[in-house]
Amino acid sequence: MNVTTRLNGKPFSFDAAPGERLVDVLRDHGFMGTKFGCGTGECGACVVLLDGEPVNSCLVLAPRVEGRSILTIEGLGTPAAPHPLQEEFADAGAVQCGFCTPGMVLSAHALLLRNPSPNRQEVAAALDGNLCRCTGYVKIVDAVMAAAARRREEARP
Amino acid sequence: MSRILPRLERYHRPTRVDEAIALLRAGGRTTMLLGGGVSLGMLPRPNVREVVGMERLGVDQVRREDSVLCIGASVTLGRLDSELIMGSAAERLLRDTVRRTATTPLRNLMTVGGVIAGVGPWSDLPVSLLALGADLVLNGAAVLPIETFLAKGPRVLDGALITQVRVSWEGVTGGAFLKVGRNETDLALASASVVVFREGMHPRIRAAIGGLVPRPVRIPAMEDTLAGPPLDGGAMTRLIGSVVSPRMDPRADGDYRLALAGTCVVDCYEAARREACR
Repeated sequence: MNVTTRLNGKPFSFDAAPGERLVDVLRDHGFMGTKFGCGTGECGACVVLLDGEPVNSCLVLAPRVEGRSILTIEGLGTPAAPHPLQEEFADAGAVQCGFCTPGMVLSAHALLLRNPSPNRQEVAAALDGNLCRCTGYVKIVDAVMAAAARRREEARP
Repeated sequence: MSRILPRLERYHRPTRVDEAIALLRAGGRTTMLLGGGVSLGMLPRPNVREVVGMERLGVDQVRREDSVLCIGASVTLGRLDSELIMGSAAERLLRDTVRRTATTPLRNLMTVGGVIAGVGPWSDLPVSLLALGADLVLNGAAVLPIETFLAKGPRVLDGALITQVRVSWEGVTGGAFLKVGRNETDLALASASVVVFREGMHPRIRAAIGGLVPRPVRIPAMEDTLAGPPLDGGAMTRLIGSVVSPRMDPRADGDYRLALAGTCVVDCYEAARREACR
């Protein structure tokens, strides 16, 4: 079946089998930043933003995104022009193997859109669906706090 | 091809409830209704050939009518969290319960109707809805108390769709939800929800527990006991144990679940009572 959506701010149509998952569709179309991890909604490696909210794309059947808006990590920043969150993750040493990072960054992005001044507890709660098996979470939370502070600084007149 | 529904051939997107019911009846056992789809991660359905999606049924609103909170069955737990207001004890209880239910990305997929229809011993929201005395609206018309649904099981729906959940906040002055798992949002090993109502000069208590038996239960003897002199967790555990036989699984045995439930009920009541006295 044909599905029409918006992906990273641009119109995007694709053909998918009814039972195909969003994570597979994205990766088949070259959006490899969305990782396939557990496949059961536990790890958060496949998190994308659906209408601005983080969801596990391994549990979303492709037909369900008809008419909706998807943001993947490729839509947030590029190697040449990284998003501030991506820069802060790198600067804080919050990335080791990197497998969880796209999901982490997108969950953090959704949080900062909703709450520009989170405390550490709120950051941890927003990242509760993203597992990291390398770093522990201290540097990840540090990175999100730094990105939030930078965003507030840049917003000052 | 997806591993969760490997034989899926058709995905229907009906726009009316009667259309959805007709599709489900015509499809029989190989057709399933899909809310948020989160259960597919835990319970793959290899025989499903058709899915009826709920996303266009128009049952995705949160409204307040007089003193009743009306929650559409397709409302996600994430959205419900953002719509609840903190001025109401009933809504605060629902918010606290929702925030302990699964992780943020999963809450953005899980629907209110889905967590009720797919109720299990680990379910959180049905525990608090039972304590609040919520009603289910079926097919947009008939009303079924959630207590009846939980007592008799999903078969009582007899093919009907849950389209709305109605929660009255009339008289609710305090409420609390507690659960124990490996972490904040884990599947519950045991849980409890206690609500204090004010009726005239007298408080009334409704309490429900989860984790012990296949579906959350309300135990009137527990409510009577809470209304009496203060009780410790051990005594409450013995009382609950005299009424239900808790299940065991590899995560916890029955006695452990009972002990957790007893403590949760007593602690919940204290928190609900404090809120009611404010």
